[in-house]
Amino acid sequence: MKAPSSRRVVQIGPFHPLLEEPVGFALAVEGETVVDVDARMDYIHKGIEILAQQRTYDMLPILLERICGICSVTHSVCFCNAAEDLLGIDIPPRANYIRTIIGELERVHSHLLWVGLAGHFIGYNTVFMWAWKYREPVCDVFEMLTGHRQNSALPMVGGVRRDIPEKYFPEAQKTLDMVEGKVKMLTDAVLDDPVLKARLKGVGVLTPQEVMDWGVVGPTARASGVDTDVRRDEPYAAYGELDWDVCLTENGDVFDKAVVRLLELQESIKILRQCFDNMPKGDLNLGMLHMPRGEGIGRYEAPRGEDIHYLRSNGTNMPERLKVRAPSYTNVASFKASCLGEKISDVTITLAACDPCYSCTERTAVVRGTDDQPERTFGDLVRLSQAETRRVADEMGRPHDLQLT
Amino acid sequence: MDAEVLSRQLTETFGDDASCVARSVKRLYVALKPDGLYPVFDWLQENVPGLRFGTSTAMDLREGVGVWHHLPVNKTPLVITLKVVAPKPDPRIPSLAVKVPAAAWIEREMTDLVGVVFDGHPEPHRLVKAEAFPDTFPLRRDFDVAKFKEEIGESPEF
Amino acid sequence: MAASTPFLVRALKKSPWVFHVGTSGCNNCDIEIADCLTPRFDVERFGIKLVGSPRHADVMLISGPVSRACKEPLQQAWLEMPEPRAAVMVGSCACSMGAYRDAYSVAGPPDKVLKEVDPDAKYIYVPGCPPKPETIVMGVVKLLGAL
Repeated sequence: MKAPSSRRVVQIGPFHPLLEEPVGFALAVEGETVVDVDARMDYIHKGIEILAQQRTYDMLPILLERICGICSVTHSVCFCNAAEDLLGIDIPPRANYIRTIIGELERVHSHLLWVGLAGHFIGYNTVFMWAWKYREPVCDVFEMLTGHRQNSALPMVGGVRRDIPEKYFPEAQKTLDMVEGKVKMLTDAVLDDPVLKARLKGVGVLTPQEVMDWGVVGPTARASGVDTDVRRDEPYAAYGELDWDVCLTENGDVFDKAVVRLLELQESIKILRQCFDNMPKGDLNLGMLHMPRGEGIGRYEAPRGEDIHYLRSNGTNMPERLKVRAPSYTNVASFKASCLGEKISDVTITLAACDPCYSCTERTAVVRGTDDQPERTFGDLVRLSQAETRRVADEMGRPHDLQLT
Repeated sequence: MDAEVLSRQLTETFGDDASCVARSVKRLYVALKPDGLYPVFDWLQENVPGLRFGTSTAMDLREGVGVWHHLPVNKTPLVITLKVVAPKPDPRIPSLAVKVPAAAWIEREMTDLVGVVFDGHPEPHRLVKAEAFPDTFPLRRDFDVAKFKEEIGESPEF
Repeated sequence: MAASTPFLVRALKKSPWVFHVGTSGCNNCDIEIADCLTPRFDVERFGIKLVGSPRHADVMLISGPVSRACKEPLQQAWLEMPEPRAAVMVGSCACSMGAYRDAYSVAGPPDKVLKEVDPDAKYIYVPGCPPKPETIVMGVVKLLGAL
């Protein structure tokens, strides 16, 4: 990115001290305010759409699980939805319930992971440790039922490959009870915390119009009051038969995005309980199916939003084209709307708020271009900091100087 | 809104310029000429509430480079697909990023991978191909990984 | 470059600081590495600490195949690490490219990429897709034993 004078460019990435994947962001800043964002996505481009053209339909769900570690059920089931749309078939009810169970377990551990990371990004490491601690039992349940902590290799076109053992359902229910209690505790802690409110309210706001313009999906869109959820709009798996609600909030800031996810966690646990209680008996899949010529579109509500797969078949046993659009693709692009005008310290959590499949903190600062900004002395910085503290205290209706007792 | 109802309305408004195929109640495919993309997209944005830009697929077809724009509609199971085919060897298509910013990234990606040029795109630089990557298009049919590695001086096996 | 004296190696073994590089993997291994730090596994009680800069680190955890854009940053980060240094290849992709072996946009597995700039690089493989956190901890421990 070219920097006009009085602008500085802060480079974020490609490797950063946190946990995620390589990605490059260039933030153009004036003073502390971000005026432009540009992203480089080539660090993680692996060309999986071309690999998909060299695999048979039977092998594809296994490959597509490797698109994203945390959305492994998402992509394989979404591909199956696309293939079943092409074939125009319905799959056995037990397979639908198994897909729902693994999908919701994934949503629970993914949202817990996000809550932890969000806490980490704003320096609230207690939340990080708690959320990840309670994520572990969920992964254990996933392992009990499918044999692996994340990559289940269960979905296939026309059903699921294997059964999940019902003898572990009581144990899973017990874990859900525990996790539900902890999620309620986390929700109350977040909703009540004045520090979190001061830090996150009004930061990184996306208006409903911006949500529609940038095609934002999932919890990020629902936090702005845009009512979209593929599970309700185009019910796949067993969602049409279950009782659950779409969680919506109004403000579209980072605080509301956290609230939506915490509420969704409770809905997911509700869905899981119903699945465990009403699990139907019967076939698991329709056997090997011949794929005719044609095209199909599959949609799936991933933890991060709507996932779209477009499948084009030419009658052979390998697809002619498979297009994968992960939800983060549009959510990340919307940084242009949500980050502009924010302070640079708020950008980290704004970037993290849509739960991208990578996230970032500032690691390397490269300053280019000439600098017309006045140099700030130590005294200036102290005065700025005091003014900011006063502003926050006024907003919260607290005295400027907290008395230490 | 139903795919068949929308298909009838589109045919009434645009006649032969938009040939619609409703595969089921929730999937509508509309084949367009490149210059018919803007009027149809404007009409859809006005008349279909909750329409948003989902993604696009580019593929190398026999008759040219095909660009499929997938437009899901909120609160309904409907996905509208606008099909535009640009003739080779110099495929050019009007850019949707002018109308809806969500299309900006995917159009940059399609330019990288298939080599279709979007006229009027606000920032047409590379997105997923590294800057050092040679000017070949991996999703074209004549692309071969082994030959590509040989050309840039890498051994085909690691 | 400073030579790795026996004293430095002994000091490294007491409390290895690790730096994590995700080179275009699917982020599953990255999450499992982060999992090692959280209360269930808590590797910090053994003195293993995740740090934010390669200049502070003794051991590099590498996950994923190396994409063409990541190749140079990875080599640079490796050379910035002080001697004695070692690497752990976490996951099938870092060991043998896994599912991405035929992809056009990957430049090779990380061990080959490191050998290009540092022929004496020491590393250990932890296979699995992804390896469980226990496996990653065991890999680091075995690496320390072999130094």
